[in-house]
Amino acid sequence: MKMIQPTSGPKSGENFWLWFLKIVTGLFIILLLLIHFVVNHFVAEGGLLTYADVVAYYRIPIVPIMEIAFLIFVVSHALIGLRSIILDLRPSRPALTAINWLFTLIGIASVIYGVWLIQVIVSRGSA
Amino acid sequence: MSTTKTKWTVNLKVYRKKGQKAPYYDQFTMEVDPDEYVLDAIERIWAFHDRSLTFRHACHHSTCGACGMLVNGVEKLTCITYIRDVVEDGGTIVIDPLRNFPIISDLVVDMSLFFDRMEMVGQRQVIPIAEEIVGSSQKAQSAGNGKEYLRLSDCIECGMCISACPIAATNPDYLGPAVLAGAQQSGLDKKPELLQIVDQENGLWRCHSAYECTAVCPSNVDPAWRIMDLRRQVTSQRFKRLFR
Repeated sequence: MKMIQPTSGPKSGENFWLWFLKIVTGLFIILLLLIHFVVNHFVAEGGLLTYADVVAYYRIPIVPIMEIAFLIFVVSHALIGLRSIILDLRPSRPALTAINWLFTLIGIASVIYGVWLIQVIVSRGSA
Repeated sequence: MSTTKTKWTVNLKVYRKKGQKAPYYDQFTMEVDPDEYVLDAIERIWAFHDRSLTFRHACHHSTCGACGMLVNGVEKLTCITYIRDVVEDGGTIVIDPLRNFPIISDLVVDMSLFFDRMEMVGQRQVIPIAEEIVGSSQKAQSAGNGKEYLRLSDCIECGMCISACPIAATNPDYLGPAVLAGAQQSGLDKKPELLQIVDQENGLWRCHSAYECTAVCPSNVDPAWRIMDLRRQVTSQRFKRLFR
């Protein structure tokens, strides 16, 4: 019988940990979105309708932490998902390596920018 | 007096390809009984119109899995697909070979790699009688642990799930739904060596959960659910290994 050897692919392809991270971040996104909607519509009195309301809301210590976590989960989930789609286009190994680095940089830059933005909003509340 | 027409006139537009020549479609206008099957019409083309038409078929009752084709762009086992279900009187049926397999000739595709992969995950084409655990007349309805036997043994290896799979369309190295479902049925607990076959970059993590395989499976094998179950098994093994 002709046997096919399993392709022991390089680590740059799809793998368990990326898949698992995508699933876990997806679950956390749903959870945090749920908390976000409940707080905005049912907990905050009258809803967060004005800029001042939002700034005041960010003064609650858990809120910026939650927003930063949400940012990290969304960025990770989106970039891993986009990478999965790009894999369907069968990029060459060098191209995939470049994509991995590009997405890592985009992810880090997005999170740094987001954290800075949240920090700015929080600091305006304390002014 | 019944007004139901017992004969319909339909056009069959059939994919043709021979050797290195460019593919094209042949059209055949035929009188058919709408309660006939699509395979009957294809056989009649071969018998009365064009003996050079090549296609696979054998059992005519959805057991051999040989006659899987695209009927109007959808994977169908043509031996159990009624003409009335895919066309109306005066309409056209477009017949193509399965996707994601190399075409040998006309409607015949090369499934040898697929069959080899099925054997690789323990789903053999032929099982010697001596190795059969229980005779068919003695098969229990329960696996003994309270769970009913599932139906993967009913996989007829028609390849239609591979044809419908969007990942197989982009990557011929992807193992594909039937093979991963076969590995799930063989069981990682019974065959631990299957782990390195399925847990790799062209294995079960590539599935995008489109569930097209399950939608077209003529035998209710539900390959997509089996891929998800295999993921659950591998995830469980990974974490157990971490804390061992």
